[in-house]
Amino acid sequence: MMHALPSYAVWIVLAPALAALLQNFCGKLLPRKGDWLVVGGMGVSLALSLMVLMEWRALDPGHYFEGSVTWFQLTGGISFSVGIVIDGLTAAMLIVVTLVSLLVFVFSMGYMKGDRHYDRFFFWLSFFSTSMLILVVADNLLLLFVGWELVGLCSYKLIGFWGQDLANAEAAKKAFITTRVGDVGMLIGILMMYKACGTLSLQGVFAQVQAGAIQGSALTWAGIALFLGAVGKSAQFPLHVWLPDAMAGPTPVSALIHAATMVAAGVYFAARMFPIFTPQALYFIAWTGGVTALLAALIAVTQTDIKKVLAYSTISQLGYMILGVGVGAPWAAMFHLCTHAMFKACLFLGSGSVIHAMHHTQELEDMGGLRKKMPVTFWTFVVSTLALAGIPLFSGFMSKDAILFEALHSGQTALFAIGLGAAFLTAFYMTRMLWLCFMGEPRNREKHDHAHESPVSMTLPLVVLALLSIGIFWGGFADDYFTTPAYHADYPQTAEVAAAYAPAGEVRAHPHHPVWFLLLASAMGLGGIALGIALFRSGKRDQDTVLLPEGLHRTAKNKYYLDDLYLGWGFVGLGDTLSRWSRVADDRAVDGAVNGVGSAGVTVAEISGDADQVIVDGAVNLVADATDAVGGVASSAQTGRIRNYLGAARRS
Amino acid sequence: MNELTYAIFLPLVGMLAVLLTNKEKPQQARVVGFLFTLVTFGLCTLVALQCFNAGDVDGYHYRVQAVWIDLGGSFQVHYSIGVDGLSGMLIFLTGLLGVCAALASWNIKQGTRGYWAMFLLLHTGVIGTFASLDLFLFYVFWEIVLLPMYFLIGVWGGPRRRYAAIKFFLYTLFGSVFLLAGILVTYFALTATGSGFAGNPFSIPEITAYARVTDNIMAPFGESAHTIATLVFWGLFVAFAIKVPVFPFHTWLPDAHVEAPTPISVILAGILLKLGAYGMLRIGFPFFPKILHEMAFYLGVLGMINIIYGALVAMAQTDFKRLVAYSSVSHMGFVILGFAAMTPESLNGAILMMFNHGTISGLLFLVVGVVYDRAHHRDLGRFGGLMWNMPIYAAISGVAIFASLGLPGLSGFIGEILTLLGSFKTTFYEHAGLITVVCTIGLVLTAAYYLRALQRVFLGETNPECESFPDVDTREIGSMVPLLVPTIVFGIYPAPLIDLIQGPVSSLVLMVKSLG
Repeated sequence: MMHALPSYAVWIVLAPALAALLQNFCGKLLPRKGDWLVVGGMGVSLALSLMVLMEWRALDPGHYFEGSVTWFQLTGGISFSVGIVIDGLTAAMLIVVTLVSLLVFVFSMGYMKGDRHYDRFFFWLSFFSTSMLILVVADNLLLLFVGWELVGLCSYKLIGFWGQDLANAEAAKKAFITTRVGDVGMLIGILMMYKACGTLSLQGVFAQVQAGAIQGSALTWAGIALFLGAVGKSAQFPLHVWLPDAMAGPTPVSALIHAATMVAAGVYFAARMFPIFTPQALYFIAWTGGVTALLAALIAVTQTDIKKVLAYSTISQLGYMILGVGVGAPWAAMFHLCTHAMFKACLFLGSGSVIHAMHHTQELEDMGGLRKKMPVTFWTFVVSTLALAGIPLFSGFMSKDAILFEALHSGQTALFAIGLGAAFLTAFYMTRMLWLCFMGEPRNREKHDHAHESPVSMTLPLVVLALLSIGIFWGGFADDYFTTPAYHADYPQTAEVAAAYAPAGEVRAHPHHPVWFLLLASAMGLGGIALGIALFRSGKRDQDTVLLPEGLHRTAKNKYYLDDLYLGWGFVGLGDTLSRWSRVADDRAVDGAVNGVGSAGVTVAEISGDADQVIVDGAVNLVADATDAVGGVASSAQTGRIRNYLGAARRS
Repeated sequence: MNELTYAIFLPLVGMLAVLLTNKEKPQQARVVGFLFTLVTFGLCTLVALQCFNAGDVDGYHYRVQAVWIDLGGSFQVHYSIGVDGLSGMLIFLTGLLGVCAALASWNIKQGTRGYWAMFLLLHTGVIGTFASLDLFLFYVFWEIVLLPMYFLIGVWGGPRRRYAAIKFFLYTLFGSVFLLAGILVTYFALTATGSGFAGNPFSIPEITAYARVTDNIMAPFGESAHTIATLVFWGLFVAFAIKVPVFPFHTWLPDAHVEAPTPISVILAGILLKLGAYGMLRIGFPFFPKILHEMAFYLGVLGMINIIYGALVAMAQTDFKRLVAYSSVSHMGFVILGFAAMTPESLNGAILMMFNHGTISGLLFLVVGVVYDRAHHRDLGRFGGLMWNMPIYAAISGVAIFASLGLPGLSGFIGEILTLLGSFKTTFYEHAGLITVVCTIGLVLTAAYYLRALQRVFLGETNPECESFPDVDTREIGSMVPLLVPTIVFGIYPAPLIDLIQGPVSSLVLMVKSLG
């Protein structure tokens, strides 16, 4: 059932937008360069999101809010609208986005203090959150695509925020172009849906799919095409290569955009579009997610840059979420998205706190023994690491288990095994990083001596996010928000998927995990931590290769040579070669033909000039006259100079 | 006499006024020229606003029809003008870009009077072409455009200006021959015995209406009617395609752009390219709807080639202006692609693209002009880090570049997405879906060449050669803001533009529907 949208809901998006605008144009004149405007705008947005959440929860299950206005109308009654839909999926995403945004904004007040372009940073942050909110509340694919591209722009601007360094600019460009490859896939999916359904509104598309307007392999391909958007944005293999480089941006940006919100937009989109995925499309999605989860975790084990470890960890966790969607449990994916947003933002901000204290050192090599210097950072880091590692009583355990259980439940044992392996690796590399960073003896005395705990504006968000990584806050969360999403009921695809993956008649929404499963899942997390402590307790760094065979370690450390492949003969190499050839063809062949025709004409004219005075001479005269005319006017334009020259001559 | 006629001929009066100014005081010519451009813009705006209302006569506004040349019999050339939403929109664009180009012309130091005279004459030619509803009159204005353009490039251009000007002139003249031939063949067909046409054989609206109800306007040619119609269709297409420009007729464009002074590049890319696309919609397609249906596939392929090939060649450029010129080739491909599909979405998209490409590419050429004025070169390898010492300039350039690469929220996006939506779903020709999918690759290529250029000019450490460059001054900002505003406003709210063109679009859609 649809309900009219509360009138204030539109301000969830407009408040940060207005703040961004005001801050952009008046920021330089305001005290503190208007950062309080941006923080305030986000605060309003969070408050309104909470209000709309309360209202939504008062509705009966399966009900949602919607409101839209016409954007423009074409002849023939074709109309495009902009609108907001608020169901469980949206309500939860709204809280995640506004809360993490607010905390990151507050953190940035400390982290970016004294930066030359402090005001510009806050403008782009606020613009980002606005775009992200547009993406989340959009009730049609076109508006969703608008938000989708705008977050890409903000990501580009913020990765390259310190663009004096060309490496940062390169990373920004790489992010934008790589994600655009995925976006083209998504666009093709949108084109297919529009052709088949004649509308872009989500409800309309779902209704048309239900009515069979598009089915069979066409629907599978449309689903996969749309999903490619998520592959780009959510950094899934093989388009993940931009995300590690994106760590070139300031750390609050990494926390907000490249861990908690934008990169999760792909998962959100996949969950949103779930009713249109056929079992074949879901199979593709599940394997994409599974492969990503495992391969990224392997790379994370080999990294020595604190942010790079977290980046690969993010890719791996996004893979988990995509896996969740693929095994027919978008609610579990969304649950993990929400918990992950909190603890991963906490980890990133924690790493930011460390980097800040160490004067922009990111190498684990230079760290060690920081726990006493930075107790708040350390303990919040521990809590969120436990959550990420999937230790019982922490939020990550609950959501990760949900996905693993669904993978098992769907009967795809291989994917379940991959998930378990990735869980073990996750616990291991996080322990390794925690140990190398905070425990043991300081490896760089000088930097260690200068290190200090960060100011309250930075530690407060850490504490809030760490608290939200504790399991107690998340009891029943998935059931409340995602098991009865308005869009997902009664669609044939969903039914088909359910039939393919679950034994007949079983209610999938609230599975009880058997004890052996809980023990197995916990064992992965605890085992990874135990091995990590065993290997790195001594404080030696050369333990990395113990876990992975030499060859695999080297391959993983080199990112499976994917970047080299893309640069060499993949996208970039191929594009450059084609481009060079096209230019040569254009200059020589196409333009050459034109000039050839021109000079051939002149030659023919010269040869037959005597024979055919009228026609040929006419053409030659035309050219000559034209040239003459240019010359004539050109010289008349220069009379001033001649006079000057004469004048100069007379004076001398 | 009405506002439309004033808009056409006021610039001509302005040209005479400029020539009467004191040769020793170039500032007079500038001020007079600018004032006439400004008033012309006002008139153009009035004309465009009028197009929001329902049309007076056969859907056109400001209709004037008077005999101009009477050779007896059916050879009667009329001064026949009128505008609908399509031409109204383009006339508004002409006025708008005229003002921006005029402001950017302030630093033309040599032959100021001649420059401004030609500049104003160009306005008359362009506005006249858009307003003409008589084929002969259309041809006359079409040719008038050539003359001032030739001089503006050939006299006030860069080092290779003569080559570029002659190439431009001969190339477009070559196209005009086809246009003239097409007009004459049409005239003979319509006046031949056996033709059911009773109207004026030069009247565009009358021929359009006749083509709607008859099978083939070339019918009097008997058995060869279909072949002749096909030849005339392609002849007209080539005439217009050279202006657009459509591959392989595009190579005059980069040369002309590189050599033309900044304001002339603005007008060249912003308006002159639209003349070609306009000619197709006004004459080429409505006269031969059936041939269009048969040939739509090839138009789609040409559009696709323009998009992909233009983007690839743009990517290999090292000259900033050449890069922007090739980006025009790529973007005009979307216009052709949208025309080929003939759906409401694609036609709206293509026509929006015409307007929005006008403002965005105009803005981009101004952007190139600013940096050229300071550095006296356009070599992408010799800039860097301009963002840090020219922040306002960098911000405006950023908007222009992202608008051009189709970022939502800026005006380039709406045209592009509507074109793609319409082109993918069309049943007007076979394999449209596949062609459209190939075209989407252009979006990645576009992002690639623009972001590379952006990085090389604006990011990184400031190049020592560029450290002393001052940020844009008030006049420069003034010339850019009138283009910046529609880029943002019509990106967020395109409804006014779309409302304006629904009349012409729906008549084209009806034309296609009647084909069955």
